[in-house]
Amino acid sequence: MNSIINVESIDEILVLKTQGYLNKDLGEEILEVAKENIVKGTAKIVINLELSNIVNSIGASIMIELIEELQEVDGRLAFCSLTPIVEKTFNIMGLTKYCETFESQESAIQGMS
Amino acid sequence: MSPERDEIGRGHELVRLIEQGKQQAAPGFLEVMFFAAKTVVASAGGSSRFSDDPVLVDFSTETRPFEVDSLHPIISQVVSGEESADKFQVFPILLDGTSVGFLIAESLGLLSALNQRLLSDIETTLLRSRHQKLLARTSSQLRYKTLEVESLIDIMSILDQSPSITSETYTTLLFTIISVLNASKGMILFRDPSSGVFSPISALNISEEEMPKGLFTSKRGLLKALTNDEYRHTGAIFGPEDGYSLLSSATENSIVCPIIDHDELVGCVIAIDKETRNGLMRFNIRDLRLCHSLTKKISLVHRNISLFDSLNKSSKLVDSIMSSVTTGLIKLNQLGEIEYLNSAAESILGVSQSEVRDQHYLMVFDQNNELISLLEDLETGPQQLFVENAMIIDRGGISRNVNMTFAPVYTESRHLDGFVISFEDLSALSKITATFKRYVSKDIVDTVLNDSESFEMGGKQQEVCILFSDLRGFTRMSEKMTPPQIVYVLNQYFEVMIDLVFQHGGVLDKIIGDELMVLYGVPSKSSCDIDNAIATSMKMFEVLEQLNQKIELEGFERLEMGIGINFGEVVSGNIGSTRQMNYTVIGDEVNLASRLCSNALAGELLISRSVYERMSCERSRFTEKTPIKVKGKSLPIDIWSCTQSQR
Repeated sequence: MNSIINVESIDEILVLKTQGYLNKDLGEEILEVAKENIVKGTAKIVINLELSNIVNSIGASIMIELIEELQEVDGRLAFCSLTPIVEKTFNIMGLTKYCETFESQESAIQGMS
Repeated sequence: MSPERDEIGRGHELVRLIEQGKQQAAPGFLEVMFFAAKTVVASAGGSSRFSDDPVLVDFSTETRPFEVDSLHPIISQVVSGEESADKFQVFPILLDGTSVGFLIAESLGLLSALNQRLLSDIETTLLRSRHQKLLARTSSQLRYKTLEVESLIDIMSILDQSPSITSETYTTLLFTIISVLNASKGMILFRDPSSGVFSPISALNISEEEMPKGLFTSKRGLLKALTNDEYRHTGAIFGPEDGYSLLSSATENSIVCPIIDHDELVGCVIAIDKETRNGLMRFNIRDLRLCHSLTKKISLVHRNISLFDSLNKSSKLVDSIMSSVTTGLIKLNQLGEIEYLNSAAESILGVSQSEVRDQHYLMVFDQNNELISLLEDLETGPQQLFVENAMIIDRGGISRNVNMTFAPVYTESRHLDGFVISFEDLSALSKITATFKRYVSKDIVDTVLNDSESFEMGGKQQEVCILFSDLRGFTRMSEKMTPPQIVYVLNQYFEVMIDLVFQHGGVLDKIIGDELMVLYGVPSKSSCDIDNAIATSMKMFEVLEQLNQKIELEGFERLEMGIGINFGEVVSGNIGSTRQMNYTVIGDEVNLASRLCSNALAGELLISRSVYERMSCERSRFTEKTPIKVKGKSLPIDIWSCTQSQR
């Protein structure tokens, strides 16, 4: 089902890996974990969507909220391993104007460092 | 348009302007207040005694400045009872002609220039804020529309790329639909064509516990409802109150859209509970229309695929029938291009389908002028045509004889659609005939090939001349020879003797060891049968002498032969079983011919009375001998002999 399956910190970057439908529930779960870490000083977050091959506009809008949260602390958000359909939805929702996308987690971490 | 609460109450710029206004305002400025739905939603200014209590007074129609006293509910919130002034000027703040708040000042006559500017700035800011909000809303709506359009394109693209709809394709389709509808979960059900039972082929976000359990058919429940005219063309929205078990995991409601193929319900798309940022909500008609549009594409492609499958099956059936046909078949289209040819045609023409398909016949039949000429004639005047025993040269330059049939093909509207040419390869038949003729005479071969009844078991009585020949002392001779030598000598002997038999119209009935049994007058009788038998015998002795000279040189002993001929009524026909039969003759007259052969000495021909009396020539060469007693005959048999010296 839809959930965050891994949370780790690599080079001061919070990396979240999800699985399933990036909808309201998963979006809120991501936002909650992210906020907890932002409070602790995290400013860079990478979300690995390799196992989330479907997103709806609610999930995408929650990601916009996360970007706003990060902007408050001069932080950055990046996504990696997006399927074409998810990437297209992010583009249409205007999400990719305010964050970066990478092909892999490694390149995302490298790009964010 | 009435102002919204957040439109007025929020916005840093507005607050900043008011604070600015407070500092720069002319004497007398007290407060700026904003209302929405009769309620004060924001205020800023000189008064610190603003109350949070709602003021249920509608000033929205007040568009001109007016004066009120300190007892007025508005003013009573701004100014405490301690204030001495008892008259205030109220300047409405207008947004699109509607009063959304007031600038309140002490009643000093005209509004000061600074307060006038503050009022104007507030109104401009409110207007800009409204336009920005409208723009943001329009932009958001545009994004959703783009998502909808893109999802339609995606679905068409997914379906276009799939030669058949697999479960993976359905999963991608479901994801696209669920995503664009902002549904919380969903599934696609499909009907098993053999059982008629519907089961989920793809599901999203539905837990094991929520998965529908039980047997679902279109005869009851939700699926039956979908077959109703009310829903089958539009889909439907159902809530928990409808009580369908397939939708039991829904909290709000579900969209169900039918997948129809050939007017039958073959599946459905189910989207459950619409998500918003604030929780789940009910799908509306607009969502249903979108879902139905997307599902209709699936129906359309499903129908196309089933038509394509059906066409493929028919095509394979035609192919397998055509490939089993030994007659070569070619279909030319109206332009003279080859549309189809079966494997027999490939073999006859020495070409492959891929090589000549869509090629004009002029290119393919370039070595067959007769065929090209016939086709050119047919193009000017379509007609059915049969050409017997024509010669075709294949791509490898090998010629073969064929029977050709040309038949014009017409469309349903009776327009010429091309031609079908059939080639009956005669070379195979010729080969069989030639091989057959090595074993039996031409007459038998022709009778068998031309008369289907010739294969029937049974026989008929008829008069036949029977010749037996036998090598004398060959068993003794063969004891001194190796098996290959025996075969060699016998083959040499039979080669020349059987040729002679066939040359004289004889039918080789059988070879028994070194003995030949030959018939004359079967299957068709002639007046020369007896003379032919005699002539064969004479020639056989002559040829045997030539053969002896040859094999003596090779170190073999001379062969000696005796012949007996009889004529009489026998039973002729196919004798044996349906799996293996021999065309032969049986009866006493056959036995007598064999006895005559047994009694003939080396180099002697013995004939019976029936032969002697019916022969029309060379009777003088025969001398009557002492009648002989033969097994099965009570009376001695009259015989005539022709020896080497008499020939």
